Amino acid sequence: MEEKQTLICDKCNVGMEDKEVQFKYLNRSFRHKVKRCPKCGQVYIPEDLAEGRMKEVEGILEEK
Amino acid sequence: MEKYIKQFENCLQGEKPFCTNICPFHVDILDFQAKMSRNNYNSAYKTFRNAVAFPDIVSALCPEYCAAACPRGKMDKSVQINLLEKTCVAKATKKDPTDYNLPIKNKKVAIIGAGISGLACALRLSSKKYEVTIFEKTDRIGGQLWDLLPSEVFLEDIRRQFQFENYTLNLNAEIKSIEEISNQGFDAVYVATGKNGHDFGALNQEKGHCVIKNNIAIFAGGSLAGKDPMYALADGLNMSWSLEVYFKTGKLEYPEKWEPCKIVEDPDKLKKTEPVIPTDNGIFTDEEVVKEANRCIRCQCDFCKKYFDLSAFTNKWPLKMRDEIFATVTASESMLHKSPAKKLINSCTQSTLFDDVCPGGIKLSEMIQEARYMLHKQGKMPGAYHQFWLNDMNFSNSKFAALRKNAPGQEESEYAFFPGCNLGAADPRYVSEPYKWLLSKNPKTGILLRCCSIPVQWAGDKELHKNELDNLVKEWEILGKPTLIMACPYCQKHLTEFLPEIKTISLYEILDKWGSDWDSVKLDQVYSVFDPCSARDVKPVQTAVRNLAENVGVSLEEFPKGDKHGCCGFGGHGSIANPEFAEYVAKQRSELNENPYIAYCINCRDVFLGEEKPVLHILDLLFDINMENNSGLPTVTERRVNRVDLKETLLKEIWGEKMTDKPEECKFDLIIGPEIKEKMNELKILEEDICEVLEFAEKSKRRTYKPEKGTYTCYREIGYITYWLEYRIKGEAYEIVNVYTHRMKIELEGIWNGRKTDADLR
Repeated sequence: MEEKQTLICDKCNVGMEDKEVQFKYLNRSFRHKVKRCPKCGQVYIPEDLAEGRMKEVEGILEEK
Repeated sequence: MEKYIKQFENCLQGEKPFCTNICPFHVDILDFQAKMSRNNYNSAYKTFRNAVAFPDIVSALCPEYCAAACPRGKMDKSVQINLLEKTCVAKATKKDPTDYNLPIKNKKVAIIGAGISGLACALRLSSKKYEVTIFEKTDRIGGQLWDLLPSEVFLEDIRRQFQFENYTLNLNAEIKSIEEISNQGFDAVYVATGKNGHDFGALNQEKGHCVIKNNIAIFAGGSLAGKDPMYALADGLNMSWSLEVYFKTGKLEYPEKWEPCKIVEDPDKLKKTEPVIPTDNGIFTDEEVVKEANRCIRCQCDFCKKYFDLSAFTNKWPLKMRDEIFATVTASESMLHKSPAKKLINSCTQSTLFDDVCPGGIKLSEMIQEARYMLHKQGKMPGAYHQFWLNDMNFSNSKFAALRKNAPGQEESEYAFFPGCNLGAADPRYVSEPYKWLLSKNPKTGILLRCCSIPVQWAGDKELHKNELDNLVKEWEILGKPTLIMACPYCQKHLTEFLPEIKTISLYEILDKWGSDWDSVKLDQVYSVFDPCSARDVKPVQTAVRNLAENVGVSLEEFPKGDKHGCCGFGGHGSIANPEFAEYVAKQRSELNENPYIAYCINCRDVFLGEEKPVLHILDLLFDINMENNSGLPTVTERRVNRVDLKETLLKEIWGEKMTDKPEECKFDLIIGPEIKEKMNELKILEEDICEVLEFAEKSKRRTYKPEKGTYTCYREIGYITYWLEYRIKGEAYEIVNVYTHRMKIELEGIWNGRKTDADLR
């Protein structure tokens, strides 16, 4: 699994942590916990999230 | 939009089949046959009884009015519905009616005459718990049934159907005047006194056989009104409805007049099937029932399911689509407002085949285009659906790919070749070879290489569409208003519709007219010409392509339905909004027959090539382009390279000029393996996009590092899409390890712990 790998923010040189991120699509906003740099807030989204749950939600919102 | 909504008044979804429509009882034949074909006699009996009230009587007496209306009658023999009904009545084991526990209604109805019509009315009203009293002048019920059927048949049926109902029966009680009734506190009367009976002044009144006298509503029907036994029975049932309407509204409503069935017969559904002869003492065996019930083609208006791919794929009838589309384009700011058809609207192939064949004249494709305009205007269009195509159009119209030139040494053009943007993208030779040929035939043939602007129409952007069309007109005027020679039938259709001032002619008509010296090709197989939906019914172009193919020695075979086959899946640019649907359509069209195809729309060719359907473009045959080794489809990036190459080649070979404007090369040395290339192509990611993401990451240093893998991951939002990139640095080069995208936006990343951390996110 991708998430189990160490993930470092290349800018701040600190480990990424699970933090809330706000997303927006088709005028609807929602929050979800993903890896984020605790220092600068940079976000990392793994492929399985983008291709999985995010794609699913996008599909739902496109028909809502 | 209102115009299109109004068209749905003519929609024939749910229109009764021919047999149901002509049947006095309007028996739901679709339901009856479905149950019979499963040998579900008890359930079929219920359907039948719900319509006719007395199944044994009706199955014994019905003269089968439906036989005359059955379309099968013209081919072999009408479906033998009466025999099926008789079989159903004989085989059903649960024939008792349901005993409904309903509240008693506070209305009294008198029924004069205990014949079949009066009894039917009495049964319906008493089952709804009205207080019913029957007055019969003789000493027995049944009226004319005594002359038509053995008494044990009809008396048993009447007993069974009435077994749970309460009503008062007065025999030997002749009513001579309405006062006799009004004095007894009745609210309404049904007069069913039989042939030549007393009508109490109700026959032939202003609103039908009904009148209000002495504060009592009097309805008349049955044999008294000249009906035969079956219609008399049906009259009784219908009159119970009229009486209920009267009780609820105080209005006299005589059952509506019969109207002919509006369903248009679909000859494709009817295959000759001999009628089944019953072998079980005049009724069918179980197997025979299935066979006979399946001779019924279940007449319904379903042209939409057949000719509108989206209806077949989503299993949605156009009426449902109308409701969803209407809800979607209704302007509203509310978060709760539903817009369920955004994907549906953007999936449509915009093939107008259904619009042409719908018997109700519903222009669904046009309605969907209108909905796209409205979605865009209201800011509800999901931008990711059309971003790729619009960028593609912009590139085609950019200085790197677009070209407008008169022929060498000419001040203006009599003709100008308009290949469309996808022909040269597929293979530059598809443009350069025919153009050289055109020049050899008419030296005053210029060229106009750009997009016809249909992507903006499909994206619903009316304003930009107009701008693009204006630009096209300007270019055409600069060339001296030449006749445009169109290689793409879609471009031609589009210009004919929006720019009628521009005279166009198909390249294939010109090739057929101006050329005769085509080299023969050796092809063993028989081919079928796939007419694109943009050339449906455009006979001159269709004929020209067939002439050309035959001139080079190709044997052709037409599709069973000619050009009535809908889109290849490219139209409407729905493949990003709904890739599964585009794939479904492409597959359907690839299987029209076993022959390899000849296409003359490059988009159709590309789709079929993607489906691995053997296909040639007509230009392959004429100019020997991809006859031997078809290298397959270029990737989205290669398509752009092809467009630039085409311009460069034309400038060099025709005008002896050097191309000065070239797209900036990626500053990174990229290593992209074949798997990633394929994935990029599938996700419609250009190498240019990769460079942009990389450049951003390198500049802002916003990237994450995976020490175990030694890879960096970064992203950038480009337009409506967020592109993610995982890469490894190999010396000076960048090896792309993975790419993926999403449409959601990551919000407020620059605000962290309550303060702005990075101003350089975009």
